[in-house]
Amino acid sequence: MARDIFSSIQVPQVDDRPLWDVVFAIYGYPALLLAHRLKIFPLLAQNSHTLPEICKALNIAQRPAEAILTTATALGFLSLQEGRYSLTPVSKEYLLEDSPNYFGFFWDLMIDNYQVSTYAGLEKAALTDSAQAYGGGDIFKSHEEQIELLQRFTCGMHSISMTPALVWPQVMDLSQHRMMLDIGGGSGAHSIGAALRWPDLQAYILDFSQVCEIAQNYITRYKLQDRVKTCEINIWRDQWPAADLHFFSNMFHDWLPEKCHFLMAKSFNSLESGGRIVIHEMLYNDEKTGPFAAAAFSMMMLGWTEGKQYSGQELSAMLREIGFEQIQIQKAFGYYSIVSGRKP
Amino acid sequence: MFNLGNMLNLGSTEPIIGRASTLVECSTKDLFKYLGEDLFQNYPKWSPEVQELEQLTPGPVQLGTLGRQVRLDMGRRSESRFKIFTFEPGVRLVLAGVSDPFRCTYELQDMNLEKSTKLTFSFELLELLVVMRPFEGLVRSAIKDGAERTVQNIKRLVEAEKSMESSAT
Repeated sequence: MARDIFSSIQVPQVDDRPLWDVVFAIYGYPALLLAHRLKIFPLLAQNSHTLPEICKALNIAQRPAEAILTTATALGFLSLQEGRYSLTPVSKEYLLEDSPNYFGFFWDLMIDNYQVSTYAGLEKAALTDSAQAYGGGDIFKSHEEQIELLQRFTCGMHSISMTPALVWPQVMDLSQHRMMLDIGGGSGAHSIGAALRWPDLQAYILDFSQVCEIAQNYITRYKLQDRVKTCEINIWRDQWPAADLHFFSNMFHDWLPEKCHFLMAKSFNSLESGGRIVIHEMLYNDEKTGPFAAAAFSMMMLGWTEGKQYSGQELSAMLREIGFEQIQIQKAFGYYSIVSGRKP
Repeated sequence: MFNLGNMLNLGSTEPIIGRASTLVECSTKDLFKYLGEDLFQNYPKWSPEVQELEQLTPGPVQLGTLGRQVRLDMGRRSESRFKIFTFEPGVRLVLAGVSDPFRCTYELQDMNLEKSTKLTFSFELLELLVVMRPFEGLVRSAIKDGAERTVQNIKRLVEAEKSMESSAT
């Protein structure tokens, strides 16, 4: 039987490029992390450069340099004209450290924890259904090491949060709200973004005390000390301050539905009547056929947390079950969406 | 994002939840009647900590019905109001505290063509009073044990009632 199949081999009816794309993702995308760490983007910030000039400046050979630069160009991070490489709008906006929208700290976090995204790391996470990052909670690290890790982590989170934090407050009308709780708010990027857009809004960032210390630096950087404050609490067991707006960004995907349900119920109980809950996440579509960004984010959550991405329908159903009304799903910046509901 | 609390041991990220399940030899319809429709008659039976129970809104038990209870838990007397937050006959009943931060969920699942029902009960304490924080471990353990006791009490009561009904006929 097998002999017949092989002897009658024909050209397949479908292309094999999707299979190559899997392989190329393994090699292609890390080229950008390499370009970032080799500081190719800051090198090109002032002037465009030729390949030999880049090799000389970075002290690398032409063969690897050409491979990295061509990948970066193919993916839209560089342009090549008349033999000279230069930055594109996306790399100028997100890959230069002096930009307020700098994304590079998050890439650093990915590089520093590359073992989580390796085949072995993901295989272990999948087979054991447990997060692999930081060894699953490394209590043997010293206090200083923990603080250093926390700073790098919060910096990485701020790096991916500040840009979307400027957009979702434009999508929603927050003029009726006075006090926002940024629950598990980390650096406070979203409180900062909301406060910048809505001058009458005040915000509390709710997080562990060590994180709040770091958030204070960001609040000061944006000169919002009068309106954005931190509140050192354990969001799971402590009472939340009174507020009429509860905001969660990249929080629910850390947990399975049971814990999301708990947080939503706590939000419902704590909100004033007429208050609103806003959930900022990358959502699966309702059919769970994609998009790829949400599916890949779910793989990242597999390696880092006990959670997963949700669809708008799933989050809406949870909110409705808790008692929220006027549930809305709106597109926000990039891959992000917001799901919101009002307490009757 | 990334569950920082767990990764860096900043503090517990475990909500205070007690959950337990059992199989009750009874249809989902009958079990829901016992738990939901006849809540104000039966609640003190499966939860002996309830000292006083009063229905505050008139009419049959339904979504939005309000109640008041006085409980005695480990010697501590407390009074609270609750509201029926979910009332899905044969499927789910949720009571949530109006003045106090708790939620009780009773979920029913038909297991054997309406002959037996899987009952899952969960109790969520949405926040811990400051005075209780030193005893968080004890509270967690009491809630866990309480959930197990609750489903076993309901099973015993419902099955005994059903057996009495069948012996009477």
